[in-house]
Amino acid sequence: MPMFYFHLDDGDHLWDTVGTDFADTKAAGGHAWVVARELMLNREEMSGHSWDEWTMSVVDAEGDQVLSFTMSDAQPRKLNDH
Amino acid sequence: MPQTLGKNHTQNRLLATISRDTFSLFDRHLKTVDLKQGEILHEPEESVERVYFPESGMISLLVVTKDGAGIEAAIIGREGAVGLHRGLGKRRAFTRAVTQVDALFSVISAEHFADAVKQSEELKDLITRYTEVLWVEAQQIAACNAIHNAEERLCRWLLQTRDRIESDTLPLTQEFLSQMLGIRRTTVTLVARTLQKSGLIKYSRGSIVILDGKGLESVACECYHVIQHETLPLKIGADLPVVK
Repeated sequence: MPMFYFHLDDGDHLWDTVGTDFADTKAAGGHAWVVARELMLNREEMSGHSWDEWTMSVVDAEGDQVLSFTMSDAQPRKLNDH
Repeated sequence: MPQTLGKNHTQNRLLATISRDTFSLFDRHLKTVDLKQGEILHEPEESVERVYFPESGMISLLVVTKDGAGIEAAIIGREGAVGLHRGLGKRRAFTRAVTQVDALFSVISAEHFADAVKQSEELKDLITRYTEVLWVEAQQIAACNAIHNAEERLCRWLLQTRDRIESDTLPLTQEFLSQMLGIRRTTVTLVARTLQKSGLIKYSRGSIVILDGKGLESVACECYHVIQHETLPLKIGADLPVVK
């Protein structure tokens, strides 16, 4: 199965140097959204940096970007949202 | 070869608080075992056959979900024991117990321990007090898992591990952390990179070194402080190591 890497960028870079294999781009993309939501979950009360403006990008083994989105698009709803 | 520990040689704090007379009710049945990281001590539904007292290292109790994945409910180190309630009678486990790091444990068969408990009010009281505090800790962790974010929870977890194994070098893989915290391994990698960038930790394959404990404490949620400083001392009322 091909390898994919999941990076965060905001001028500053956080690179996934380990990578994970997925069957295809679609599966890797799904994973990116899940990871983004995990990172964004319950951040509202947190002081310090916010992931909102960061970009998540998925890169394949050849170094080509196959997906990217802004982290704020992955903001999950809070438990007590009305 | 299994060894028997004398009261003066135990590193486990629960055992250390037991009076000499009471300890002699069961100490000849205690053996020291060397267990590797990732060893499963019991699964949910299984009958609890042994009581484990960590001499070093730690054990995680995980709630196991339908698909077989586990999420942490409590962490037990030298301050505690796993299976203690078995001293009150036959019990089935509700959680999966997994060793976190290679370490030594004092182990006794549930039957022998239960026999000693029958004869001792001190042991019955110990079990009750310990179980109450473990319950408080588990509630805190449950709340933490619901309302705190991945970064805070990971920091809390690293600090709890440090305090229990008493070392800044944590022999943990990101895959293992991913399972304990119920988050994707990619998420662990990205959070770890953030923490490394801030100079709080340094990680390599298979281990994480805490460089700045105070800094990590400021990122961790308040649950770390509650568990470490408020529930832990209640467990045994004994002196605990000062956390740097």
